[in-house]
Amino acid sequence: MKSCMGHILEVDLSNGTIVKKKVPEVVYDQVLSGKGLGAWYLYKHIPPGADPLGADNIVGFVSGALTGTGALMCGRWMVVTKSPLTGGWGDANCGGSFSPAIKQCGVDAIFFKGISEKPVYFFMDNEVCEIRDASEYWGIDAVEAELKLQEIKSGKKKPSVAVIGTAGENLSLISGVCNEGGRIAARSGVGAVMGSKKLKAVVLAGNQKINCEDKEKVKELSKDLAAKVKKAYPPGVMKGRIYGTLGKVMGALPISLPLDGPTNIAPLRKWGTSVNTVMAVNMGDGPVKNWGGVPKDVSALAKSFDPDNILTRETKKYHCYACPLGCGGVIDISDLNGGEFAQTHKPEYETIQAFGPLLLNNKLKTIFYINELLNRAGMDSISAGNTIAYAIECFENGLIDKNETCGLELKWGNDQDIVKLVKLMVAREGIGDKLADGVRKAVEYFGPETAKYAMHVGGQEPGMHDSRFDPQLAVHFMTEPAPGKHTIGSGGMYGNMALWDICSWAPTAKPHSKKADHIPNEEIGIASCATACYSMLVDGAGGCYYGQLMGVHMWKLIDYLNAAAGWQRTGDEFLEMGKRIQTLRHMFNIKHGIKPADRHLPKRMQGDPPLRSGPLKNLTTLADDQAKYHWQAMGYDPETGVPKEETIEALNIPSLLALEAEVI
Amino acid sequence: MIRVRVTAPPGCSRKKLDERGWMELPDGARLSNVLKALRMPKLLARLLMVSINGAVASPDTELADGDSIAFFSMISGG
Repeated sequence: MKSCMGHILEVDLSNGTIVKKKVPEVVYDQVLSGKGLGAWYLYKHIPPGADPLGADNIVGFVSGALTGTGALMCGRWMVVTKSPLTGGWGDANCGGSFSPAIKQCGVDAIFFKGISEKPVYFFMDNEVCEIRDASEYWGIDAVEAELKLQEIKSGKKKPSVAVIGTAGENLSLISGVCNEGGRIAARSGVGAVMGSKKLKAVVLAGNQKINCEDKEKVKELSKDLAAKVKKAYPPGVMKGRIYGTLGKVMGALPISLPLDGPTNIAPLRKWGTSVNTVMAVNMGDGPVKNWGGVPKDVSALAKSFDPDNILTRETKKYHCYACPLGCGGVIDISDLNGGEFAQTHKPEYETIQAFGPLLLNNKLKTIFYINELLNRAGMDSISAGNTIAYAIECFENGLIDKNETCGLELKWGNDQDIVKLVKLMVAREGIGDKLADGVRKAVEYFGPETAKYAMHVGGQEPGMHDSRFDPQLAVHFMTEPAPGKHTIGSGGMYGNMALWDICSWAPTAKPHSKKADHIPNEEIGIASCATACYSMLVDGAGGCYYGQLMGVHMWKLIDYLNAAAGWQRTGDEFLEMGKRIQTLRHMFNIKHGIKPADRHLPKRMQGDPPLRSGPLKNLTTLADDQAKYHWQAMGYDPETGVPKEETIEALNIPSLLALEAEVI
Repeated sequence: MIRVRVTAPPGCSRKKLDERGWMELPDGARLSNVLKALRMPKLLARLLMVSINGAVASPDTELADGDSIAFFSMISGG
């Protein structure tokens, strides 16, 4: 595939060897780059039973097949590994400029195995490729460490840096990897794997050219997309609070309506994802009070989380690499906490929700501060918020007392003690040490009677979208190899994407009753299968979730891939490729002892018992039954979730796994 | 002829839409032609923030092949 570099780098931190290898062309042809290349490599090279924090585990930094080609919204980089949080497949991804930096060093991926004796960082440019001492950076937060590492000279180019904060160094199982001032590839505990290897950072400063087959076609597609995005901006009179009202209307309707992908553009451009909060809570999509509450539990919801309040602090907007949307921003927080931090990234919806309505905390300023604490530590705000919600509910029910909380009053909405608890988690001190590994580990410490308050799927805390609201989302939470992730798909996202216009077997989304949606059925199973497969293509290309959300008519991923590779493939053929990637990830889990059918949503997240008021009143999601339809559509055993032999054969996976990268 | 994709709210006439929500129109057609086919008053369309490819649009906007027409901005994800 001409848009890929065709090589990977293997770095053994135990003995310091660095080997460059050529990847067989057929690998890209079958699984693209990104998670696909990562799944191919990790399946082959991590032995069963490998300790995720041991020398046998591998952590890979992978770029996307379209990154650097001129294709828009294709600049995501991915971290792939065996997750210490779930014990199975782990991945996380992030925007910024690190993805092209990988390819500009002449490789599509860098894989690290072994454990260094002392802290190190890895440096690479066009000429140099070496493991260097990182003693002076160890113990420094991710933002400060990145600034220092960017001072390393390499020609005229400022290096791109992926770095862990103190959470990763402290082996917190909910830690991620940061770049660009604390933006995090947050999920699956990928930061702890870097920490276990004593690998503080990866610093890249190459400037090699990235090719593609039909540059003119890629350019034409990008020009068209950029022009459309440029036009989509909310009218000046439109206030952010209108989304809260729309959420109320949607929550009250007895039907679900298919959504239109391009309508996501305008609000994302103006407000970023923070526009979601009030709307999500009002419509039942945003979990409240550790998934046990309803919108009216959040006092002054609309006023507290008005997205326009966040914009008043915004000092600049920013775009990821090759992105016309620019949903990111920086906000001024120099007036908070004695001016400890001058600024922070505009918090994402996930962070606002996890430290706002989920904890019944309506102090937005506290959330800004927590956002920066977590970004610097490199800790996942989704997992951290869910874990604190668990701790509060345990405290409220007498299962944790003040002796264990170091004197903290863990009450709903007690923002000052929530901040203190975040600091304890980051430092791994007192109760923070018990909570720094997420809820599943916390239950091991605080006892099985606390398990009912621990919201996780297969060990990973769920994203801030409610599985009772969207049964297709429930299935993705459960069946995704890296469980609990909200970015794989949902019913709402399915409507946005309009996959039926590129795939012959994907059902068309239509208005449907919410009650009917909650009865397990084959159609949702096929839709979730198509969504999961398409999502793998997005990750293989290095694509952005918001490109995916714009829909196939706006962000033309299939056309981009065909142009970049010189292919003439159909949507059906591409979704088959996505199924291959997804199945490889499932096979990784099975190789490492994960039984897919053993992963369940907590009863509360299924609406068992159902909420008695609010937009989710009397709704129960029968996720286990719906998962069977998903697995059936994927060609897996519907009872066990294990891919059938004939499916694996039909996807050519055995011959793919027989291939080896060659030393050059 | 051009084809446009319409995500129509409940209560609209769907007679001119195929089962995947696409509508065929002559070259040079405007958004007002779609509203008429849906039997949606222009004022209501404006209240519902009718948009083309995510950009709020006026009824006299000329349509292009492949345009996506929708009636309110809802976003999902995070």
